[in-house]
Amino acid sequence: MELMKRNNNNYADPWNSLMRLQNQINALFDGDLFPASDGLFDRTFSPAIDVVENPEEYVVTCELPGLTEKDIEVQVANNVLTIKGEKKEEKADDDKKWYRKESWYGSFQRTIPMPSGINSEKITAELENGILRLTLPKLEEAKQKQISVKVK
Amino acid sequence: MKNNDEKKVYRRGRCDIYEGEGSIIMRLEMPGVNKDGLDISVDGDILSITGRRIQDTVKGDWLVREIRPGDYHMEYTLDETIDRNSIEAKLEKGILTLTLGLSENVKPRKINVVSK
Repeated sequence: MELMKRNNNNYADPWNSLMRLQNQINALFDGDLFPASDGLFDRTFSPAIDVVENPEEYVVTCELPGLTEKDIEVQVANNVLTIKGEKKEEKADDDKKWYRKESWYGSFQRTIPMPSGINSEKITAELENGILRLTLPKLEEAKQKQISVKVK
Repeated sequence: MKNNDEKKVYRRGRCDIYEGEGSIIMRLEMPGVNKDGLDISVDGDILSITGRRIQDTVKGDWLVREIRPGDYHMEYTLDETIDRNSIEAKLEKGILTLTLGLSENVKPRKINVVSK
């Protein structure tokens, strides 16, 4: 990857365009740089999430770089967790001279069906270093209890 | 790269590069990295950026796993227009902004014509 001025003088050089094509194809394998969209015609971006379950709680992690707490809306209704928000661009980019642009901007929404037995009053959400972390504690009756069986 | 680093899986953050006033500005999305985990160095023409993510302390079973594991590592080649001594970095809300100053001889310079 290079941080070089783009050279448009070599239109006649076929190797130049071939090299550029090669670079673009290599970039495709470089990782998940493009946000996943759920369907072919779905134009809503969806940030990546992780959901972890342990005996006490569910922990939902979401990557949201550049967002403030005002841009994010979290809802829980009928055991469906919804993370909504908008990733706003800092400034209009019309007048800028771009060399590379990979980030995306716009509205997004993720809905995650959660298992029943969540204590919806004790859900906490925190945003730090561009990571949103939701903690959804389980209800007491939903927690797995170990029942010791006495063998007579 | 050191031998013991080879097994490590790195991911690349999304990167925007544009021209600012007398500088080149790079915006790199590195969610989960704080100031202590960031390592930026310039070695000759290579600008390398490593971001170690805060290790997850949550234990349990994964129900959904979409976030790619691994730390961030990116390398960029700087050309002679970048002033190596004026590189500034700012990390905010998971976004690293690097301001690479252009060297003096690349900046447009107005030359006054004096008529005699």
